[in-house]
Amino acid sequence: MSSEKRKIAYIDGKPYEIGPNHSSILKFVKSYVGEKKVPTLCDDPNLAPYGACRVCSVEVALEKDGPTRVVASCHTPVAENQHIFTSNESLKSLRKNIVELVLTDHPMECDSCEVNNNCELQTVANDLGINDHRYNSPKQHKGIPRDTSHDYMRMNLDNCINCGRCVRACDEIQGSFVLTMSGRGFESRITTDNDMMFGDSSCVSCGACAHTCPTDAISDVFQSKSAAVDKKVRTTCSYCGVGCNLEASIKDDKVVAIDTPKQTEVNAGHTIVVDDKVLKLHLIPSGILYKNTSCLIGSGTVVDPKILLKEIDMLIDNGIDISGLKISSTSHVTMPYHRILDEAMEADRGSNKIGTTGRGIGPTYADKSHRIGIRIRDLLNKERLSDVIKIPLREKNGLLEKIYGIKPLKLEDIVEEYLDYGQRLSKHVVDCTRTIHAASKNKKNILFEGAQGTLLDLDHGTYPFVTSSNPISGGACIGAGVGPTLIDRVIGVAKAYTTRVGEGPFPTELQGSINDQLCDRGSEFGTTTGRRRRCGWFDGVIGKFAVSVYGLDCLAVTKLDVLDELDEMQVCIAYDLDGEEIDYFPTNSDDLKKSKTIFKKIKGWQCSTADCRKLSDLPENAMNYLRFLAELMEVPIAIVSLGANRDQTIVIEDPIHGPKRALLR
Amino acid sequence: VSKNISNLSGRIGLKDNLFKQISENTLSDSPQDIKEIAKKHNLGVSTLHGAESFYEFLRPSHREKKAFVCNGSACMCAGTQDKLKDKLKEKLGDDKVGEMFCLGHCYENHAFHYDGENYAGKDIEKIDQILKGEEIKQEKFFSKSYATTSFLMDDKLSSTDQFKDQLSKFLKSDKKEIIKSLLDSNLTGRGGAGFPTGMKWDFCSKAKGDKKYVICNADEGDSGAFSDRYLLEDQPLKVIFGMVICGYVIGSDEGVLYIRGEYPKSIEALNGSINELKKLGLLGENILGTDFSFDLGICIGQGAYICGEETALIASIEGRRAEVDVRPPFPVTEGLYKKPTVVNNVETLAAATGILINGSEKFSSIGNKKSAGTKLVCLDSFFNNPGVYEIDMGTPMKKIFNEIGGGYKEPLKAFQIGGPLGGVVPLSEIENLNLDFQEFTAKGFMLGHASVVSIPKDFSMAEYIHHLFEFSAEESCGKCFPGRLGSYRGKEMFDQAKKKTAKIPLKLLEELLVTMKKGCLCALCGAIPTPIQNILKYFGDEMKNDMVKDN
Repeated sequence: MSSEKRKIAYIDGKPYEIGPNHSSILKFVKSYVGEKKVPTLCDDPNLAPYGACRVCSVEVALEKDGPTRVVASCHTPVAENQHIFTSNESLKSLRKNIVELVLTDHPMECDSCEVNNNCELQTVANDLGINDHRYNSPKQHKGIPRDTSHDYMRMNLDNCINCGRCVRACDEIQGSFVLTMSGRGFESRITTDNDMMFGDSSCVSCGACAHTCPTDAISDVFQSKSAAVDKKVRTTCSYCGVGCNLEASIKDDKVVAIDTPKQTEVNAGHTIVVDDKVLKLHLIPSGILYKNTSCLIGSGTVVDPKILLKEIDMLIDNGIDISGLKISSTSHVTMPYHRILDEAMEADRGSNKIGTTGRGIGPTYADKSHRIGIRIRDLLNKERLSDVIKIPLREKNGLLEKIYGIKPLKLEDIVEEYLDYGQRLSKHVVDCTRTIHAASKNKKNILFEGAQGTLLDLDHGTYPFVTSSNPISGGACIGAGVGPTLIDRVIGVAKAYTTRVGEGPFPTELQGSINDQLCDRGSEFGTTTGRRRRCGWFDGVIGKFAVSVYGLDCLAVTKLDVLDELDEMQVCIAYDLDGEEIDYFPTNSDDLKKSKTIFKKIKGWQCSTADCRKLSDLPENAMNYLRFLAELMEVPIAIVSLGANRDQTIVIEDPIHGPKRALLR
Repeated sequence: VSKNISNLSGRIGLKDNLFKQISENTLSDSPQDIKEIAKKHNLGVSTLHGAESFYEFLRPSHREKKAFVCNGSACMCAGTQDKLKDKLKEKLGDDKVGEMFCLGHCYENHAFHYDGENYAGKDIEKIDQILKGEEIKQEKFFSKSYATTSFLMDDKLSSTDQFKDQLSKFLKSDKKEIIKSLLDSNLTGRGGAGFPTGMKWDFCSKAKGDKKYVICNADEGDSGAFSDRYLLEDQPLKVIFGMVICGYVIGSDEGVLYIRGEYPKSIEALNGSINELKKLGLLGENILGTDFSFDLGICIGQGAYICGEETALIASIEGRRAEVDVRPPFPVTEGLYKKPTVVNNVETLAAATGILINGSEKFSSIGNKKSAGTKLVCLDSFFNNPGVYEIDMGTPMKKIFNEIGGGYKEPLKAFQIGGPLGGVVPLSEIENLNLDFQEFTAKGFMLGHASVVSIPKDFSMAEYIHHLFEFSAEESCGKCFPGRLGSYRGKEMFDQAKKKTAKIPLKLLEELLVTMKKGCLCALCGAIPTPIQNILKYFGDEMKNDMVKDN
């Protein structure tokens, strides 16, 4: 790598190095001279280049002082020795004239618009110094009725600029095909399904369309894009173990909107593709897609039978055998009052108590602890269900009626609906513990599918920004009902450095060229979205914390090769909290924010490790680095990986079947 | 652009092709069908609806009409269509007559479409027979080669025996030799973009893919052009031969001809040839006992000029909306269903056949390196000898118009050469031009497909610009902002001038044309400014009373 010649291109006369992730002129220009230099309207870095709005046009010449031509920077590759001009007079007038055309078909009622001062069209027009057009009485698509039929979303096509971002988000991010452009040319417009009302369409309410829409053409009922909020707080959804990042807009200490932040690690591309079938699974473990695999939804999972049955139907429709699906009889069930309460409470909550999307998860867990929850087994028997539902329903109806002024629910209706669900699910219901122990006895391989993230653990994570479950290794025992002795080995996986997507505290974050270098060499760009991750030095304090809460037997260190070119690395060995050196992780996020890092410098090896196949091939300084990590965290290293290919992995000791002993420390 | 729809549609592929299902089922009328087809492809109902609503022929407003008069540039200039329309309305009812853009009868005009057939010239006189469903005798276009060597019009590949002989010869040839022969011939794409054909085949042969495709772009929508129609109807074997050899060279076993629905006779001719070749084992599995297999099908266009643009054409076959895609990736690496694909125009494929049979030196020795070989040129009904001619590149236009075309029937002032996106050349410039791609471009025109639409002396040039803007507004895919909005705003300017409600704001018009030329994603809305700027340059005075300088 280091021997390869660096490629240079010029931005407005100045040379810059072309990185491996500069897949377009736009990305290249943005990474060096900032977001604002080249305006865009149809571009969203989370979506594939589209080339519709053309306001990102730049001029390029193949050589210095050579003839230039105008290209859209979003989909034109950057080439060696190319001279890129980002903002000369003719480009400015081109962009101005295009935006002027957009304004000819726009209501121009910014003052009364929901997204006033938070609108991409408004920003681009303002930056170009344009607020009107010169065309004589142009035909406009004005007066399209607002579509308010959807429970969560709003469509106001008067303000649509036909950038197609919503259609692409629906397809590329969510894997749904609900939105489309219809018609042709000037008459083309956004619609759903077969010209359905938004609320009657097959929309799954993922919000990706509203999130990417540059105007208020598609927005949500929470008015998430409305700029009038006091602050925005980052939180984590507690619906499932995935840990989707959410951003809550707060005004007067109330949550007024929930949105997905622009850059989030987990919720960017939540689709699974098997045999070209795009399937979205929330509840059913994705192992169901493999033959000969039994999947068990464990006792610790909260189940919404409505969603579960929808997923089952979808799998059956796609010809997938679901006979291997099992559900623990003691999983707790989300009832209609949980959902209604969750929604009602949402707007009523203080700013520090957010974290749901109105799917009733919080209240279900609360009832579980309160010992008035309904479990899957209760859905199988009419008398039992009618009996166990009495107390919680009386309590919830009281809350609904007296506090939130919502019509109470009828017991008979719920019992009838949920018995039906129970009947449909009955053939899948099993005794969780017995099922797992039987599998264990028969020497089956058991994989516990939990969530990632030490710091998302309900008890040990950065409370309150945590999930409702325990994603650490011990959580597997509790959620599935197995004793800790059944777990043979706990293996941790960590990169040789640290990354994070999105905002939030990141003590060891790097800035400038080393960050770029790690990012480029490590291809630290989201796989689905191409978003750049933040990179930093290895944080031994978090590492140590993970080793202890997980009880790691050993560690796999990945991507060591990314550090190949550095002459020196640093590893965080402790934090400085208010002048005191601490070597433990502060679970309080305020303390974490205040903490400063204390680094130890380690010499780099500055040669390629990509071809190393055994430990003795590694340069001495690489070995020193690994030894240092192992000693710091007091955990043996069993695996070192040096690239994306399978053979670029050094297995020091078989971490699953090998003997438990010191491997590399 | 997302690959999801392409990949999902590609799982079923060409055999039970999604576009065909969208075309053949009136989905907007039958919610059940649309759901079933969507489900079969794992796509959304919206995907199918979005695609269906894109095409003129699939819209309810089109389907309820019975006859369609041609509104192409040549028929418009000939002034034959108003009377024709009235006559058809009288017979069928006022709301039963619509329009179609260019039926390829520019040499005789009076063109209309009825019940799956095209009629033109004097056919309207037999309208009662036509309405009764009787077959009438129709006149054919005149065609003749004036070339040093004919590559496109000769009869060296007009029978299936000749096809078989040539095929058995070339299936034994070295693939690299075939590519070399095309490279040596200096053949460039005849569809307009002018990319060297040998290079395209070479790139695709080297592209990695478990499956590759050959597409013949037979979506000749350029007004004034009927040269592809000539080849499809009179020389179908040459076109197919080019595709089969291309498949052999690049390693593809499947091809598709995308023929515009406005050309029913061409579809019929190709269907006939394909079936015959299949029966003879000259298409299909293990052709002539070799391990080379090649299957060929037809996709019928549904009324969208933009499908002549190769990425839109690919999108159309896949069942997506026929919107132009960004490049790269180019079709040679990621084309139909995201597989390596060669997309060649009809004339290019026929010329490739001609070159392989006659030898590349003969082709390259005509014209010059960048404009080599022969070219089909179409002359409209204003010439004394209208028809389609094969002519050496480099021939003076004066000679083509006066000697081959035999001069003009009435006084003319300009020609639009190369379709609606080609330049408008004033009569006075003709004597300075030769049949040469680069020469036309250097003078601010565009030779394109080399079709000629004559503009009579008394025809209003403001009307002609209106026609061009109307065309691009109607046919723009709607994806890029300057194309979608610019073409419509341009049309409005000339609407208003025509109705005398406002004068043409010259400065704004000029800015608009520059914006479209520089900013548009593809050559439809990006090249329509060329003829308009030509008209403003050469005939601006004619409109000066309708214009204001400032705005």
